[in-house]
Amino acid sequence: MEHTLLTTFPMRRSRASCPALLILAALTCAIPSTAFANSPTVGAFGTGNHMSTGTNLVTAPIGVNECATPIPLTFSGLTTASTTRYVDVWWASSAAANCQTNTVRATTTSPVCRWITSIPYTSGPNVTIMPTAETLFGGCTTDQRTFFFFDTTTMDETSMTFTTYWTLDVAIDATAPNAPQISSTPAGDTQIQIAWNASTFTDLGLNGKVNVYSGGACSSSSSDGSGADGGTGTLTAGGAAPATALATLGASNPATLQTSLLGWSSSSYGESTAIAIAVVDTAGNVSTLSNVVCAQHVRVTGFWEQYCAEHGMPDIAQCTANYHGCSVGLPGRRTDLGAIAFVALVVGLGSARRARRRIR
Amino acid sequence: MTLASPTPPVGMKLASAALAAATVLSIASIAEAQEHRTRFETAAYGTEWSTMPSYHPSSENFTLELRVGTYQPDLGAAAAVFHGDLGPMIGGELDAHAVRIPYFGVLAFGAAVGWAEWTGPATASAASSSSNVGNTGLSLLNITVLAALRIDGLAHYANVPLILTPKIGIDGGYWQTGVSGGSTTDGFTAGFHWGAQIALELDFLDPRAAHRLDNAWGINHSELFFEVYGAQIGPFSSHMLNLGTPITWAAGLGFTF
Repeated sequence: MEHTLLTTFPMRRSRASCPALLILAALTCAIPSTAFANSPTVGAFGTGNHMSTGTNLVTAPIGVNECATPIPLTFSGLTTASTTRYVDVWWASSAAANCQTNTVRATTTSPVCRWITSIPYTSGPNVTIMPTAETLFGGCTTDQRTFFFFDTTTMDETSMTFTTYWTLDVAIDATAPNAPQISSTPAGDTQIQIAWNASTFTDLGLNGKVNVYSGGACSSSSSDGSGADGGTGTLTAGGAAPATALATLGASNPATLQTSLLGWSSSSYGESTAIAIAVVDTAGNVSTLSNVVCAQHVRVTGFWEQYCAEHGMPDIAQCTANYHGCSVGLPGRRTDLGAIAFVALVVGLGSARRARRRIR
Repeated sequence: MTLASPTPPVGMKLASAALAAATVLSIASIAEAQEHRTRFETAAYGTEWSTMPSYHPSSENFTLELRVGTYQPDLGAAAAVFHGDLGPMIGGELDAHAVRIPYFGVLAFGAAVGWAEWTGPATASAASSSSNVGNTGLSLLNITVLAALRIDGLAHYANVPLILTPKIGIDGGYWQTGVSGGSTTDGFTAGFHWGAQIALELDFLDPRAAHRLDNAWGINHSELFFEVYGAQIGPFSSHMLNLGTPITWAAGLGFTF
């Protein structure tokens, strides 16, 4: 039986409808058809940002910590009816499976198209359903599936072929990254550079993060977790990351940490604090802790200190005051005798030449 | 304080000599140009015998230059922290044509702006096992007010697509220095500027394209240039950071419009 929904229902996009000269439109039309076949208006997807771009969700999988989070999926243009209708959710073995066809979807336990759930609604045309990834996948293990959504009058509808439907790719990444390795002892004044083996991680992507933890006093492999100096808890190399991070930084190498977070001040030079890091992948999975290193609070000098010392002004404040601001001015009239002599020489030569011409 | 009178570097002498030679060459070419038709008087440019549409060049009022080159300020031993960082200095220059000297060139006045930054590893003042404590850097935003004599008689009247341009001016720079995450220090400095430029006018590669560019955009000529220049920035006052350089170079693209 052929089933056709309301004509106002948003229809599946076609590449042929792309305005060729409009780059933006072309990009929109280039979205894989398995991602948003009927362009449902979709809200935030889990705690991450998995659906913000409307592209294939494989590039932004759901992490373990998001598996139980309801996923708000809002569909527009559904039937407005007083009786209960359903959003039928089916899982497909691949994105190419034609689950909209009744023969492919003949049984609810087919290995090609399997019925997952039917979510009732009565308040069309805009309907939001809130399944969790655990509901959709039946668990929370690393997996990737295509889901079909149908607007039906009965649950687990198997007899109708739908001409209008939605599809959505969803992936779960349940694998945490390996523990990172801090490659050098960080030291600094107002900030420290934490060098780590970022290049060995392939699943950090643009959303990857680095969590920094501090643990008080230092030792070679762990900390006492005293909480002093902003400590976030006991740090054990290769152990579980504490629940709270001192800071979450971008997954760049080196990661730069402001030392004010460690409680360092101008009176704490010479102190050291145990720190460790964990990486957070695109799906939000947190690795175990890196090696624990002692970050040192040291004075840092650069060009300016060296320049001042070279010019006989080791007092940096005095040196800065000497060169800072608009006090530089032009050469002083009274003190810059050399400048005056130079100008006088030029004027004198010019006058002498003019005088010689007059004599001739 | 006395006005510093630095010893003229060898490069400066060479540049001056080259400039003088080029000036003589251009003057000599003018005489030759009197006996030849200019390129605008040939048939290809629209005499009454030509079948080509006539080309009427638009007026030339400005020259814009986009440039990049090395710049290493003369900061003494302290500059060692930058490990020979050469910048680069990137910038632009806009000159307004003020007075045209027939068959010779044009006297122009303009302003240039350039920016450069030098970085190197900072050091820990106390004993530390870490060699990575961030970077130290120095940046300079330099503005130059200058006068330039564009000797374009060779290109316009002798079919030698070269433009020679000596320049003099005054530099005013704003500098800033600091270490990663640390406080910064800044200040101003000033001084004198000189330059000698040789430019290859590109019109000869495709004169029709050059004319179309003029008709469509008002750009009379485009050119590739190489310039040697120097700056005496800062040595005139003990309150100025010495950010000058005896001699360095820049290259880029220029447009006359």
